[in-house]
Amino acid sequence: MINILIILLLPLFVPGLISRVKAIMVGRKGQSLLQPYYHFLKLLRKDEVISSSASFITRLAPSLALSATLCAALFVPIGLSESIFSFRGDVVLVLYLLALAKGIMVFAALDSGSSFEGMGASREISFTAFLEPAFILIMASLIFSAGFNSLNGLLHSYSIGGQGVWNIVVGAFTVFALYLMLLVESARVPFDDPNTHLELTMIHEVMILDYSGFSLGLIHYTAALKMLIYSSLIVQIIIPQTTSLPMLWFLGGIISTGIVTGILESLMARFRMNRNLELVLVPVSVAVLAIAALIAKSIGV
Amino acid sequence: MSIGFIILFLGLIPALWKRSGLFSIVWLMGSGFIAFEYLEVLYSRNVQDYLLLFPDPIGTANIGLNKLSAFFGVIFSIGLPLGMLYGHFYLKEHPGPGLRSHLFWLGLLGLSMHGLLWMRHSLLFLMLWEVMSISSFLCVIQDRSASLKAALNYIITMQIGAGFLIAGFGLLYLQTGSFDLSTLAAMPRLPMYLLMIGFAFKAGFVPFSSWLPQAHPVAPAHVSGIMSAMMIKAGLYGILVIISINSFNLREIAIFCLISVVTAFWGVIHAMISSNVKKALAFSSIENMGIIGIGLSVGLLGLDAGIPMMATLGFAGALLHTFFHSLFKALLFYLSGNILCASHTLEADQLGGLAKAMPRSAACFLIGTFAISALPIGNAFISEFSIYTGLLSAMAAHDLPAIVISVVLLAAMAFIGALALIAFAKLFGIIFLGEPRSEQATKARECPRGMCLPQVVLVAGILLTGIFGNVGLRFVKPLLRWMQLDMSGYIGLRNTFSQISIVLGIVLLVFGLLYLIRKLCVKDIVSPTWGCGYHKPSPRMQYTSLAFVHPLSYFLKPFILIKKERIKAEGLFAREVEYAEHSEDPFWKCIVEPVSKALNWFFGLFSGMHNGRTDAYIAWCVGFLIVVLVWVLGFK
Amino acid sequence: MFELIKARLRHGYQAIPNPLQAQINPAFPGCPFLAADADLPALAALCPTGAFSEKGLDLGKCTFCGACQRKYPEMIDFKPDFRLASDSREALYIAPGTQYQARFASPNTKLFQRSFALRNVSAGGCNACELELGASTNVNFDMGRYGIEIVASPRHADALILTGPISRSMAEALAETWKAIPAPKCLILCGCCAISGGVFAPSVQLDRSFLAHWPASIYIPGCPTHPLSIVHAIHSFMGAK
Repeated sequence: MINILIILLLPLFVPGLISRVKAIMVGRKGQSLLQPYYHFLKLLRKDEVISSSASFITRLAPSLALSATLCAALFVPIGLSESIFSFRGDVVLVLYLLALAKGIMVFAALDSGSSFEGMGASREISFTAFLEPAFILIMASLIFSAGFNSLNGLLHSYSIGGQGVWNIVVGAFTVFALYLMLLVESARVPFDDPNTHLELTMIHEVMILDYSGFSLGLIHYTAALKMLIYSSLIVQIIIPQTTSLPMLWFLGGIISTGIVTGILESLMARFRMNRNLELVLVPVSVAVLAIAALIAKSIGV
Repeated sequence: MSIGFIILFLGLIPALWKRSGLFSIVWLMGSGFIAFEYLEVLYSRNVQDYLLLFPDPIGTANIGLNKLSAFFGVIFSIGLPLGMLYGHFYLKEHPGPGLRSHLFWLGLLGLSMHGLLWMRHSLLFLMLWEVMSISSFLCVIQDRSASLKAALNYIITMQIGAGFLIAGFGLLYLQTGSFDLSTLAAMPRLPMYLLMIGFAFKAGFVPFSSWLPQAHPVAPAHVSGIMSAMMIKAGLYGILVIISINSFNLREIAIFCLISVVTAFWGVIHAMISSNVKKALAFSSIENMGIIGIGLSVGLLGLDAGIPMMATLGFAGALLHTFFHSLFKALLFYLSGNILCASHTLEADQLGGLAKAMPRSAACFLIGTFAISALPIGNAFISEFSIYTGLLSAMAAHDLPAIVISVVLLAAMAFIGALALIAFAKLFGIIFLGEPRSEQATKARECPRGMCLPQVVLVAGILLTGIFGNVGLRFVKPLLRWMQLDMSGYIGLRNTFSQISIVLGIVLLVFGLLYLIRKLCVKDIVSPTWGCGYHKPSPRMQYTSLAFVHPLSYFLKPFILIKKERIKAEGLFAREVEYAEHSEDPFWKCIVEPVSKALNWFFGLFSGMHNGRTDAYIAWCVGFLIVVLVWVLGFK
Repeated sequence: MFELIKARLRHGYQAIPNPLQAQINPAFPGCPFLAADADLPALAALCPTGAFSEKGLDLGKCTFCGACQRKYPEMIDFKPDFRLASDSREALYIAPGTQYQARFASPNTKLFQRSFALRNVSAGGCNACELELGASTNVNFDMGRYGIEIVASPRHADALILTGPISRSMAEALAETWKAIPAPKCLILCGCCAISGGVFAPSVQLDRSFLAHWPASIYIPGCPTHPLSIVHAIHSFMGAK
C-alpha cells in the first residue's frame, strides 16, 4: 500500500529538488520544492491544442506511456517494503515496459510531422540501443552474485555493504552504470539539457514540443516516475541489507540522488551531441566490467 | 489426413478457373480439416503412420507425423488460408497478369509445404522440397517484368541450397543404407552439417540470406507474407528435425550461437537502414530467424551444461517465436500490400501521414510493430522473455562456458531488440505518421474492408497470444515434453506468464482509464503543428527514414553500405544542389553481383560459338565426338 | 568545476530578497504624479507619443522620456516606483491630482496561482523589453521563485507576453502563436509599444487588429519595462498570497 502511495506522490518531488539545488548553486532563491506538483495540477486542468497533422497516436501516447511506466514501477521496491509484483525474470518485463513507454512517445513525436520532433525522436530512440544491453547486463551481474530471482529479491539480497571487497567493487560499478543510465533516461545534463527545448540539445524536451495541457502533465509525471524508478534501483543497491530504518535510508537516498544530480548539472556542461551516443556505451562497458569482475572472483583469480 | 489433403487438392480446380474467392474458401475448409489432424497428433498419443509402396528407387515410404511436424502443420494451417484469403482481395485491388497460373502455383506451394511435414523418406522429402521451391518461384514472378531478376536469384540460391540437401541426404544414405528418416537416432557429422547448411539457405541464415531482401519486395504481398512467415519455417523445421535427433558438443553450439547472433544482427541493422517497406520486413525475417537460432542455442547450451531450466526456456522461446513470427510477419507483409494498393509505392520516404487516411491499417500496423519489436502486448515479447529468462537463469548456475556465452547472448539480444525497435519505429513513424511526403501518399485511401479481414484475424491472434502468454505456451507444451525437457521449467514459465497477463491487464486498464478521462474531460482544439513561427512548413522538412536512424547508422558504419548521391553546389549562385542516400545490401553488392558478373564474363567468352550457323554447330559436335573418342581410346 | 564553485562562493547570494517590496534607485523614472493644476494642453503639445489628453496621462502611451518633467517640473514628477501595471486599459489613465494605484481585480481563476508559463512574442519590438523580460528570469530578479517561467513552445504556455508594436509582418505569427496556446490562456502586453504602439503608433506598417479581437489581461507600461514591474505585474495577476 505504502508503495503505491509513494509511486503516486513522490515522483514529482525529485525534479523540484533538482531545480532547487541548481537554484542554490547559482545563487537564486529558486522555486518552491512543490513547484512540479503545482505545475502538474495546473496542466491537468487545462485544455489541449492538438496538431492538425496528428493521428490517434498523439491522443493515446501519453496515457499508454504513463500506464506502462507505472506498471514497471510496481516491480521496483520503492519505499521500505517489498515490490507489489515480483516473479523470476521480471527485470525483462520492466525493461520492456519502459521501452514501450519510450517507443510510443517516439511515435507521438513523429506524429506531429515537425522536423524538430523527428530529430528528438531519432536521438531518444538511438540511446535505447546501448541502454538496453547495459540494463540487462547489470541485472545479469546481480543475478550472478545473488541467484536467479526477481528484481525485488535481487535488490534485497544484494548490497554494497555485503561480504568482502569484491562486493564493493562490483556494487560501485553497478551504481555508477545505473546512475549514468538515470542521467540519460531522465534527460539530464551531460547528455541532454532539460532547460532547453529548441536550441542545441533536442532530445526528450523537444519530443514533447507539441503536447499541451492534460497530456503534457501526464508526460511530465511519466518522466519524473522514470527517474524515481532508476534512483530507487540505485538506492536499493546502496542500502545495507540489515537496517532498522529502511524508509529513512530510502528517502535519504532519493534525496541525495537528486542533490548529486543538481550539483552535477550546475557544474557540468552538456557533452557534444554527436558524441553522446559513444558516451552511452560507458554504462555497457561498466556493466561488462562488473560481470568480468564477478567471473574473476568466482574462478578465484 | 486424407480428407484435408483431398480438399486442398480440389482447391486447384477453382484456381484453374481463376476463381480466387472459391480457391481461398476451399483452402479455409481444407486447412480446418487438416489442422484438426495436426492438433490430434499434437495433443494425443496415437501417431498414425502410413506405408506407401513406390517403384524401386524409392521403395517403401514411411509417411506420418510426429509432434514437431504437427506443430509446424498447425502454423501452416493457420497462416496459409489467411494468406490465400488476403491474396484474393489483394489480386482484386492490384490485378496482375496470369491469375490462373498464379493461383495454381500458390495452391501447389501450400500443398507441398503441408506434404513436406509428412515425409519420412528423404527422396520424397527432397522432391516436395523442390516442388516448394519451384512453385514459390513461380508465385513470385507474377509480375514478370519487375521481378524476374530477383526471382531468378531466388531460385538459383534455392537450388544451391537443395544441392547441399541432396549431398547431405546422399551421404546419409551411403552411411546408413536407408532413406528412412524416422528411424534415425543420431546422424554422422558431415551429412548433418551439409543438411544444416541446406536448410539454412531456406531459413535465411546469414550468409545464405541474400535472396530474402531481393525476392520479397518484388513478390505480391500475399506471396511475400506466405513465404516469409511460413515457407522459411520449412527450413527451420529441417533444422529442428536435426537438432531433435542429435546431441551437440560445446564447440558446435558456440558456432551455432555465433551464426545466430550474426544473422540477427545482420538482419536488424539492414532492416533499420532499408527505406523500402518490404525490404525492411524481409531483413527483419532474417533477424527473427537469428533470434529463433539464439533461442535454440540457449536450449542446446542448457542441455550441454546440464541446466535443465535453461534448456526448457530456450527451446520454449524458440518454438514460441517460430509460431508468433508467422503471425506478425504475415500481418506486416499483408499490410505492406495495403500500403501498395493505397499509394502505389513501397518507399517509406515517399509516404507519410497514412494513419489519418487509413486508420484501420495504421492500427493493425501499430500492433504489428509492437509485436515485431518485442514490446509488451505484442507477442514476440512473450517468446523473447522466455529466451531472456533462460539466459538469466544460466547466470545463476556456475558453469563458466555457459555464463560467458550467456553474457554475450544477453547483450546481443538486448542490442538487437533495441535495434528492432528503432527499425520499426522508423518504419511505422515514417509511413503512417506526420504529413504525406508525396502526391501519391496524399491520395491514399483506406483499402476495402475485405483486405483488412485476414489482418484483423491476425491482430486478434497477436493480442491473444501477446497478452495471454499461456495460450502460446500450451501450444508448445507437447513439443517440450516430446523433446524430453525438464517440465518444472515449463511450470515456472506458465506461472510467470499468468502474472505477466495480470500486469499487462493492469497496463491496459490504467491506459484505458486515463484515455477515457482525457477524452471526457479535456477539450481538443486543432491547430497546425507548432513550427516555431515558420509560416511555410513543407512535408519535405520532415525527418526521412535514413535521417531517423542516422545516429546509429553512423555508429554501425563498418557493417552497412550506404550509397551517397550528390550534386555539389557550384558557382556563386548554385542552381542545383542535391543530396540523397540509399542503403544497399553488402552481400548482394560485394558477393552475389561480382560472382554473377564473373560467371557472365566467363560464359561470355564462349558467346562467339553461338553464332546461329548450322554448319558451325555440326562442327562443334564433330569436334566434341573426336575429343571423346580420343579420350576413350586413349584410356583403353 | 572548482572554478565554478569558487565563483559561486565569491559572488554569494545574489537574488533580490523580495522583488515586490524592493527599493529602486531614486533616479528611476517610475510611476508619474500629475499635479492637480497641470496644464494638460501644454503637456500634450510637448509629448512625442500623445500620452496626454483631457483624461490625464495615459501610462500606456507614455515612453517615460521625461521631456515633460524637464520643461514643467512643477506639473509632473516621475517617482521611483515600479508598480505600474494594471489589468485594464482604462486604469492606466492618471487623472491630475490623483495618486496612481496599480490595480488588479481578484483573478477569476485560481488556475495560475502557483504556476504560470509565458511565451514571448516579439512583434517588431526594439529588443529592449525583450531584454528586460529575459532579465526578470535571471539570478537577481528570479521570477521563477513565484512559479513563473518562460517556455519555448506556446503549447506549454498559459500566457502570451507580447512585446513590440506588432508590425504587419509579425501579425500572422502572433495570431498563430496565440492559437497554439491551449485555453484557458491570457494575453500580457509588455511595454508601451505593445499597449499602444508607442512611438510607432502612427506608422502604416503596424497591424494591431489582433488586439481588437483579444483583450489583454495585464498591461505593463514602461519603455522599456523594468524587470521589477514585470515581476510585480505577473505576480499580482496570479493572485497568490
